[in-house]
Amino acid sequence: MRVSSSQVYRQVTDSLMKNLAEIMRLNAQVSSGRKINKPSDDAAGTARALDYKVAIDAGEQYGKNAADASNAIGFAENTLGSVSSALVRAKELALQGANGAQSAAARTAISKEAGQLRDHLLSLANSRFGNGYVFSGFKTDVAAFDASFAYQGDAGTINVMVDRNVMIPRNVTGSDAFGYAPPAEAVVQLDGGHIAHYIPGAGTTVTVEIRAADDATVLDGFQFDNAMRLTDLLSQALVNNDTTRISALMKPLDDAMAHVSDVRADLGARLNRLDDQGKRLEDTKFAAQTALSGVEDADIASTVSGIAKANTALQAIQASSAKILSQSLLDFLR
Amino acid sequence: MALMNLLNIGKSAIFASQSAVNVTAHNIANVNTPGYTRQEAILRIATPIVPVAGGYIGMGVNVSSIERRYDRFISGQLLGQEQNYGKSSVMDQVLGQVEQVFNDAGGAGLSDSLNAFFDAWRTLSSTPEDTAKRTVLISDANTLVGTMKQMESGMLGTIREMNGEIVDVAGRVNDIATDIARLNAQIVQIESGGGSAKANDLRDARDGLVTELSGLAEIGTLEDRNGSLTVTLGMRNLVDRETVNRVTTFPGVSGDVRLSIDGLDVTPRITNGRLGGLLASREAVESGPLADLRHLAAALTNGMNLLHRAGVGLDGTTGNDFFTPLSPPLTDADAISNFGVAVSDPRKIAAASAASALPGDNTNALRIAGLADASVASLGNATFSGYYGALVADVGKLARNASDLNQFDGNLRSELLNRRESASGVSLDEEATNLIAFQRAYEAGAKIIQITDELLQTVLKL
Repeated sequence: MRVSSSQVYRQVTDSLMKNLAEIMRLNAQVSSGRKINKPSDDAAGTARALDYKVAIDAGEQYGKNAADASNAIGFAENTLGSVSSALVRAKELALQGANGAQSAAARTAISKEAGQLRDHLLSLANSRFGNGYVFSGFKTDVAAFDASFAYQGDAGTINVMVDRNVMIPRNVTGSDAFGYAPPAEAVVQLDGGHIAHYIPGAGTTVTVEIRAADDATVLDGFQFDNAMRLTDLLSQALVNNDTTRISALMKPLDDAMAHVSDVRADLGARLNRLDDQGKRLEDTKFAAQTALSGVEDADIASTVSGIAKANTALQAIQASSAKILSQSLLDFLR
Repeated sequence: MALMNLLNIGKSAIFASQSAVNVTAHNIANVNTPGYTRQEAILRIATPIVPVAGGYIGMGVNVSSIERRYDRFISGQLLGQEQNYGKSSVMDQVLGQVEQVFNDAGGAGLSDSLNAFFDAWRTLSSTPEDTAKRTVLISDANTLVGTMKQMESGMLGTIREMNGEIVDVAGRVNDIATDIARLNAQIVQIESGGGSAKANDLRDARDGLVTELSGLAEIGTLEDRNGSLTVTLGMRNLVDRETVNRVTTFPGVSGDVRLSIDGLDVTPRITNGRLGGLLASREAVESGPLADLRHLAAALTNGMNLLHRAGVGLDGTTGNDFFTPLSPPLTDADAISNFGVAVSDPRKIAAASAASALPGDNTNALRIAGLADASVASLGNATFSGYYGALVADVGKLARNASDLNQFDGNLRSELLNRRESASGVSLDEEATNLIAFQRAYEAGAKIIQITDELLQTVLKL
């Protein structure tokens, strides 16, 4: 084959360029740490990397949502813990008040503490967390109960998205936390031959009838729909020295306590679920990050050894080119 | 008579060697000239006319012609490959540029904006009464809109550059055509003188122009008997002997530049060379990533607005659009230029489903946050981010194919150039050898004259 002079130069230039381009490509991978530096490096890999990034991003947000929900539920659970203690204390006061040995003056004194408990319960029911009232349903800008203990919120359940299509309720409504709805009418025999009937009404309303020993004549009746009303009734009964009512209030106080415990157990279960969900999100995120790294990250060791290989080739070309380019017949014609 | 003949033979040897050295010098001078074809002095035995006993005595040597070492077959292949390379190199360049618009690898692309936007909805859904989070949502939505607009303007900028370059290339095509027409005239003039005279250097110049023109557009060439070259482009004569039909550019309906020759629109017939590459990549960008991105913006606008209008803002208003609505006569093509956040008051973001349940109602925000994972019918049942991922992959594939094809065409062109160089290029070593050979021949010719002179002296002294 005939070889012209410019062919020699072209070939040397071409092979130098090819090697340099390869070194530059590998160097770009090392400097960015990624083997995909633009979509055309690996089109399918780019699309998968975007999917993983979306999953990681969304997962982080779900994690934040779960943490927020955890805080809110933890706060509600703590608050209901205080409610439990207050109700336990109210039951103690009722027992003291029901004791026949107590004087009217002593009952008036006890009623003061019952009144304090009632106000404490109201302030607990109207707790704020972050931006709004905890127990008002959707109406987070309105206190859950007004001064006359009427529920002002609604039945809204605020669901929090903690994973794709997974919702966990963040709140418990005031009517649900502070009131309870007995499943059926209950009857309790009171001291002194009276019979108390506890009749469930609309929502959490419970109507109490105190009947005579014949179980027909209604001697006294009252109703309540939440713990504040209950403690208010207790406080009034103590002031009024009405031991029958005091006795009749024992069962509702027990029921309310049991109900608050149930609600706390439910909140605790939600916390556990959120905790699990948080761990699951971390696991998913880790898996997605590992997958992303597999698709996107350069294998530095093999890239660096690739550079060394290309560099050796480049040096070989440089050395041989130096020899070829400096040789000419003209050098020998002297 | 015989001695005089000897002088003539010596003279012919000197003249032939001198011509050959001239040609060698011309070759050496042009060793690095692109497109130069090595020339060779063709030496012929002069016709013997002096009869002697037993035959004729030779008359020395003649330079019959100076020929170009030209391989028509390789040149024809090279022209075709120049066209392919012209097309694939511009497509590689353009699609590589468009690919950068979709390059999320750095972590600042549309994918991130889209994620941030839906994350803002997910955050808002967890505390809908928080106005700070609403403000963040509006700012994230504005970032999303800004990213979309930036990407569109990136692609429109590339298309604008391409239109500008089409005009420039058409201008260069006209310049080359004019030069070819001028060279046609000169070559015909020189070669019509009869005999073997060849306009070698002019032909090299014309070949160079034809090669350059091939890189620019899909041309056909035909040389007539007189040596005049007809160049066709898009089935019209661009150069017809000494006349040029100029390529003119005019704006098409969509504002894209189109090409015509002789009053006929030849745009669809130009499919190769740099012009063909520009037209093809313009079409690829417009009907591919640009249209798809606009389609995504339209689907996002419509999907968001449908859900958002159904919801209620903190201020109790309903029926508000989240993004500026894309209503007729606006179409998908306007989706990004029209794209904007319609909600400016954070309180108007419709996180709630009912005015009676404000401000803690997050049901509509949940529904909108769920849109991130919903399959969208107008996107072929893909999710927004899934559709965008496929779009990026498509752009990557386009760019990769263009780059691979360019590499292939470049290698093939390089190989053909190599073969052309092998046949037609100047080798300094060869020329050096020739130089010595002709120098020696010249010296020997001179010696013949010297000896003839001495012989004459001898005769004259008798």
